[in-house]
Amino acid sequence: MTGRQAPLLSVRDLKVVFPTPIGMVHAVDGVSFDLEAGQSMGIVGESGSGKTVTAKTLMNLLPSYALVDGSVNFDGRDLRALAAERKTEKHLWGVEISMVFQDPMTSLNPVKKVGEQIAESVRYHLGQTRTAARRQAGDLLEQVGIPEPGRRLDEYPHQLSGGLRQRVVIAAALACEPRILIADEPTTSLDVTVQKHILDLLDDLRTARGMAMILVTHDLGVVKGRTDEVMVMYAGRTMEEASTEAVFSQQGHPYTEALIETIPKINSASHTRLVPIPGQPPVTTSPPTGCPFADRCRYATDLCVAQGPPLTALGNGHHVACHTPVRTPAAETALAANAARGHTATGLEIHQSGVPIGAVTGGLGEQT
Amino acid sequence: MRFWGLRVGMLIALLLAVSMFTFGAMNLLGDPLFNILGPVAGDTENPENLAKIEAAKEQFYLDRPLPERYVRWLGDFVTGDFGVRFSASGQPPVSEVIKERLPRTLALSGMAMTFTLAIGIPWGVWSGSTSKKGLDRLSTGVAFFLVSIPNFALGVVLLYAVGFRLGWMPVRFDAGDPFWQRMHQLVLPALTLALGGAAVYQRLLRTDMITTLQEDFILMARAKGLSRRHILFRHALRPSLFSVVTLFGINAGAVFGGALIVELIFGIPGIGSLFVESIFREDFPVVLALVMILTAGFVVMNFVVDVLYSIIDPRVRQ
Repeated sequence: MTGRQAPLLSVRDLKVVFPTPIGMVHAVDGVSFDLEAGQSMGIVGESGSGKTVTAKTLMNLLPSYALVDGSVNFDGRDLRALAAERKTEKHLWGVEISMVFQDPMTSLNPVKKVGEQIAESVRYHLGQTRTAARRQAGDLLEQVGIPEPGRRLDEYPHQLSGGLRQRVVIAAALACEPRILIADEPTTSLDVTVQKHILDLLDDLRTARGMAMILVTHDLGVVKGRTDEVMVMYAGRTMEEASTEAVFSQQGHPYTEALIETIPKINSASHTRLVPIPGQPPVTTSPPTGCPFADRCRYATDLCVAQGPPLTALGNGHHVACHTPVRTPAAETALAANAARGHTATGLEIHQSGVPIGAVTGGLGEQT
Repeated sequence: MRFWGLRVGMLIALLLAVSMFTFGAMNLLGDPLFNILGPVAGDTENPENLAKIEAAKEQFYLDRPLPERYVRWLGDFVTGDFGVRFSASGQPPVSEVIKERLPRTLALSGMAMTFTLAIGIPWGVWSGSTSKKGLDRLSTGVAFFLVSIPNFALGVVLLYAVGFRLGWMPVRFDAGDPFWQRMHQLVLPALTLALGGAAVYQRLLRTDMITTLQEDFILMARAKGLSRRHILFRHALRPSLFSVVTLFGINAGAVFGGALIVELIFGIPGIGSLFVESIFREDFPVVLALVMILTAGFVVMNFVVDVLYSIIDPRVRQ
């Protein structure tokens, strides 16, 4: 990042806390990252890892009772200050940064024609006439690969399939030519056959328009081969940050390793059990003193319990928050010691082979 | 086309059924001869009076069997002739009486419905979206108060406060013509009729708004960077209007019912007071005509509601 121009989006030590009846939930706990113009980045994590809250913070969509700390800088503008006095910055959200939502079945207004919903932001922000906005909506529908766009403009969401609806949502998000597109689980609620089409479409549109993209997902398989960088989040913290390639070939965090193991492999024998991660993500009402993943980690040592590992640079922009990064001597030693005593420092029982017991008997992974 | 045919067919069938029912019921109610002739009607001993009775019976077809009278009345009704009143002279004819009084009630009800919507909808949108808990609680209190107090009490208080004390509005309705230039006289009575309904609409809309505002498409509208007002009125309002629209149709009957009392309080000679008088005087032709008008009005209102449904939600259109 050094020597180049300032990044388009710069997040520093972002913290989001929700006051709830069970206490203060630290949904995002000190996350930092940069996004260059035209760059694509994946934010990966389980439910409750803080990835969606991070995305919502960028979009100024958090509920008013959320407590936010840290800085979010977009192209030299302080987004958090702008959010506080939202009237002055009417044409930023939805224009320069926009968002695609998870469920196209519910994210379109059922009583408005899809054409109106796409043209709406063009008219509202760019002050275009009804006819010009409509023409542009038609062009956008064509760009997102909807056949017969002229006819579709006057249809209602319930007349479209899930895949087409998500294309409409994407068209609406692109209407004002955003510089950053945030896609929050854009394919999670879609048919598997449609998922790839939508992801490819997002990729093509990003390249064609030179916009930056943040792809939020629980599925590492979604970002594989698509994004430039990946940030793995857990319990509101960044666990690992690296180029997408490095995440798959030389991941440093045991959590990343575990996530990769959960991806079903096409060349495994049939009826091979999926490998779950034992246990549940913690509810972070009080941030743990140690590593938040320690309870579920086969490498966990006494140090992991006592002291949270800071995000450390490994070189080439690869950062890992772990005392015993995978494939290091420290990890080998820790695993061997844990296997020898049959459990980790947090009491997670493991086999002699180093596989956690819960991974065999435990439930499936997340079902977002 | 088929849709309209079905609607009109339903209206006709309903009018027939209601008219038969009312016609039969009123004949069980009593003997209209007393009101036509006075005490003479009971005196069948005196041949002179008996002749009068016979004459009146013939004049008003009271000597004919019920089905025949009904068919005769129906034949006149479809040609727009509502018949003569059951009084000594039979004058003025029913259609004249209604022509004089109906516009006042229509204007009053129309104004009341407009007020109900104009007050209830913005109020409901506001209270369903505000984050000011204290003010919302206050507005809930006001709404329950307005729903609970009866029309006549509200009317009398408004009359006293705004009419007598402040002198902003005329206290009595001046029936002089031309009536359309005196619409402002209806503001207080219409408000009396409207406030209770507005409070009910507010309650319904508030709940539906709160639900709608949690929908994903509201989040998406916010992500589009639209203003709060734009989101509330262009995105959230329409999907939240179902209960209000349903009640609007059903409430049409209640507005006419309420108009009856309000007309008495404010001294408006509309069909409300006419209705009551006619029932007590057993002036059947007038009652029948009013029942027909109310039925038609109710059906038309509910037709309007069905059209509104399809405007509000495209999924209803098939």
